[in-house]
Amino acid sequence: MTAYLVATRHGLVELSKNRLAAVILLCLIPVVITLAYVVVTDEALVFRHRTMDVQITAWGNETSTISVAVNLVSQLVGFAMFAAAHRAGEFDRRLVGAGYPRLALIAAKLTTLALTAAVVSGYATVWVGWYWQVQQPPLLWLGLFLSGVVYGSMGLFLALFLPGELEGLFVIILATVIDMVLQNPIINPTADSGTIALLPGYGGTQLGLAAGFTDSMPTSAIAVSALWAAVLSAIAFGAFCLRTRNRLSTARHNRLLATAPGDATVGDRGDSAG
Amino acid sequence: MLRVTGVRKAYGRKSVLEGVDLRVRPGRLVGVVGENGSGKTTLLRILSGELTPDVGSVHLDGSLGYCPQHPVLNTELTVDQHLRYFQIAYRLRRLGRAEELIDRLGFAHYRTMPVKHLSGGTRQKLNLLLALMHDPAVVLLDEPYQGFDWETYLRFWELASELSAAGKAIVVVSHLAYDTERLDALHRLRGGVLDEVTTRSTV
Repeated sequence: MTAYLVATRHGLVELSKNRLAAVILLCLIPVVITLAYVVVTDEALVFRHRTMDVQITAWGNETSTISVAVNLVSQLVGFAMFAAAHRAGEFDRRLVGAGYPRLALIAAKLTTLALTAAVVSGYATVWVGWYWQVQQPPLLWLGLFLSGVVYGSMGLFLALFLPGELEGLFVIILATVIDMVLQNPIINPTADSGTIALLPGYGGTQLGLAAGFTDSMPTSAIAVSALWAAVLSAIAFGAFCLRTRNRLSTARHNRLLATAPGDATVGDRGDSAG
Repeated sequence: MLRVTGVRKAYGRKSVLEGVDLRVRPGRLVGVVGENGSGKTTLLRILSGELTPDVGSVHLDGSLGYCPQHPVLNTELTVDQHLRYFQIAYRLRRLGRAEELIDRLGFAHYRTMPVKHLSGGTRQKLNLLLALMHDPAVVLLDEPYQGFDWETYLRFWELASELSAAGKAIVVVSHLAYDTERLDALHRLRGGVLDEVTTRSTV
């Protein structure tokens, strides 16, 4: 438990020092939501809500604030988690090699992800609600939260093989923009292609639109987001376990040649070359 | 005790280690030198459990302390936060040994400072401290004095001698054969094989 608490506290300390993410959070979220509300047309828009299979009539600018909020939360949490995982990669390996419980580190990373997504989503929900009356603000928060968790998991996943933070930032921005453009009701009001349901931000966007303009809760959208987050996290943490595997301790457990408590052996898969 | 037997390692078709044998008994301070690209880092990664050899085995008696060549630290965390992490990792009740080493290496006044504000030399001190704070039986040090000033460099060798006298098996890896008179034995890694070039006559 102590290992988990210490890793969580240190993870949050580390994350809180990401100045780029802090600037995006504090400045960009209000600015972009304001721009979406002020600049986008305020004419009525009719679009199909896929998961509930209903037609919704809403103002264009209000709909846009939901799309950009999903996009911003996804980018911010995705990049923050990517940067934290990328910076800590080698250090985590050393820490686990020294004996730090791997499960405590994984649980701490999941907690950090959830807390980050919760705070960022709360902030974005407040700003959307500042401009117009969202029918179900908690559901909007949930939609944004799930989008953040999905892209945060993606950030953890990308950190395993992308070489630098610039590459991570680029891929996350690209993925979220493609996601937003294809699902934006202004650009694609019929949303009749089945492929849309496969996008990572699909569940979050569907929840956000339902929260804004209906009093229903599309539970299937929650399941889609949860599935995306679970799959990406499982891959990321599976790879984390493989990367932090210590061959010495593995051999110790296998008792290949160990002769006394605390002994460890690695290798021994062939003849000595002498 | 550290015992390395017939370790071979290749990356694709490029063979790096071609049958390395090494035995370091408790209380011995051993140097391994080799030119750039001779396979020192690969050997160290195998000894520390990061890599598996293609053939051969590595046997350790007791706990391991490994100091990598470049400081592997979390730049956002302070020295104390690093100590807390590794106290848990090594399952230490107290930080007595760590505090003693901090005093010996002379960076007690940086304990609350994030690593990103520390000089290269102080980072290297912390890097070394994390390898030694649990009083390991076998110590692997990869160019451990990089960035040290002269005083700290001398203190490092003093510390190494004390660890050796306390029965630790120590391997210091370097690309240059400095201070060979401080070592009990010096090995050269060449052509993927480790040759013993000198042994202190008194040992």
